[in-house]
Amino acid sequence: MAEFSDICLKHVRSRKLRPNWRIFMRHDWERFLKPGWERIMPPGSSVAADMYHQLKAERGRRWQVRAPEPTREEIAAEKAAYEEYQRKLAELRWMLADLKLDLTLQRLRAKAYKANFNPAQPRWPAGSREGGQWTDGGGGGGRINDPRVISDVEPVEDLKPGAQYAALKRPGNLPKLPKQEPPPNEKNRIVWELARSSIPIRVLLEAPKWIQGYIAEIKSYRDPPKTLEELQEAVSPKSTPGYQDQDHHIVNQVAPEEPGRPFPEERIDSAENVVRIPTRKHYEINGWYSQPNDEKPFYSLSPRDYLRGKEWSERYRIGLEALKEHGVLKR
Amino acid sequence: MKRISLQDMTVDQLVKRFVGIALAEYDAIELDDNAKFRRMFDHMTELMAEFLTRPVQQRRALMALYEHPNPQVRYRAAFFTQDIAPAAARRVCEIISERNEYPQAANARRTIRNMDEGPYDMSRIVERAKRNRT
Repeated sequence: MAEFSDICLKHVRSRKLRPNWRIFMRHDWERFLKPGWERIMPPGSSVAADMYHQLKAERGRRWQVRAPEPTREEIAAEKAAYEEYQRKLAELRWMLADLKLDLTLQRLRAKAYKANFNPAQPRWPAGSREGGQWTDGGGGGGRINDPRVISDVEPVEDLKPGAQYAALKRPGNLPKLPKQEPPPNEKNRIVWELARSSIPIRVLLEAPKWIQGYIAEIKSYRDPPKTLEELQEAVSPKSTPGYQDQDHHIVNQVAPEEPGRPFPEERIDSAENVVRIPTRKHYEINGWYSQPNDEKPFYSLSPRDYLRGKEWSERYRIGLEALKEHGVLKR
Repeated sequence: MKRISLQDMTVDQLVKRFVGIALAEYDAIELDDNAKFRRMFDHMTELMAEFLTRPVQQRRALMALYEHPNPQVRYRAAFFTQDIAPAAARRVCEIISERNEYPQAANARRTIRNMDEGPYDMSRIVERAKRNRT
């Protein structure tokens, strides 16, 4: 770099200084410098240092000395050296930019790896509620793109439950989580979304503090189905994190005002009728009981309305079916 | 803005309305808003009654929604076309079930089981719409 320094200094000097800069210097310039300035500013350290050393060498001569005009060869040689210097400088700058880009990409890759990010993951299409967000589903562009769905005439292959669809779950993207606890409706929506997603619990452990209170519910919501005996045996006066304290009744507690209420309280609370299920599953099943349903045998009534006045056996059958269909009881 | 009655709507307009109602149902379920769900359910019944009074080919337009990203839209489309495209509708329900897209997965499982037991009587929906109007 030494050769570059000389050429560079010459170039800077030619740009910053007039050829007759000497005539503008005070004759007593040394009076304004600190003693020992030569040690601090050795020749070649800067344009100013060179100026002072030149002046010192020329001391004794007349100040108004005009520098000799360079010859054409000198000018051409200097120009060529300067161009070479510029070329090498540009090359070095390019290499530096390349290194910086590499470093940035490495950092991004490290972050993406840490966050389980996959750029090939498809997104939901624009215009839908989940528009632009990532999806785990098979097929790009947010569509199912499953060849078996297209035609009613030619079924391609049979489903193999639990095998080929094991990876197909609801979108696993982390929704935008407010740091402060949101209003109840918004909070409820977020907790449902998290519970029904495939976002790992370990990711949620780093979520805002208010979410932490719901992690047990979210975790239990994803528990695998159990046998009826397991669900009945889990009933206990002790509370289980993520599980409903007031246990679920297969035959719902019948309102006292219901006409023809045929079941005594003891039967409703009997061991065969009470099961311990995840809190959020309990909410979900209760919601299902209250919503009108087109399916057989409800035919536009809500299951609760349909069951009004029905026998214990029918209520128990529908109760067990609801548990199976909601993924709580093994089918 | 002039409101068009269901009878004057084109198939495209009916399908758009179908999607809108199904998405509103989805929101109501997510917010545990049963009153809103019941309102939307009645709108859907009206809409389906209109579809059922038209030629069957028009209802086939709902099959385009089998690939919709929203599970409630897919489930509703499959349910209301199960008599004209039983195999395709069944596959849509099976996929909702396998993907564990709750709470739609619960109803989809019931649809599959009911389809095994016999065809669904769609005239029940028209009857319900008539009852709602009176």
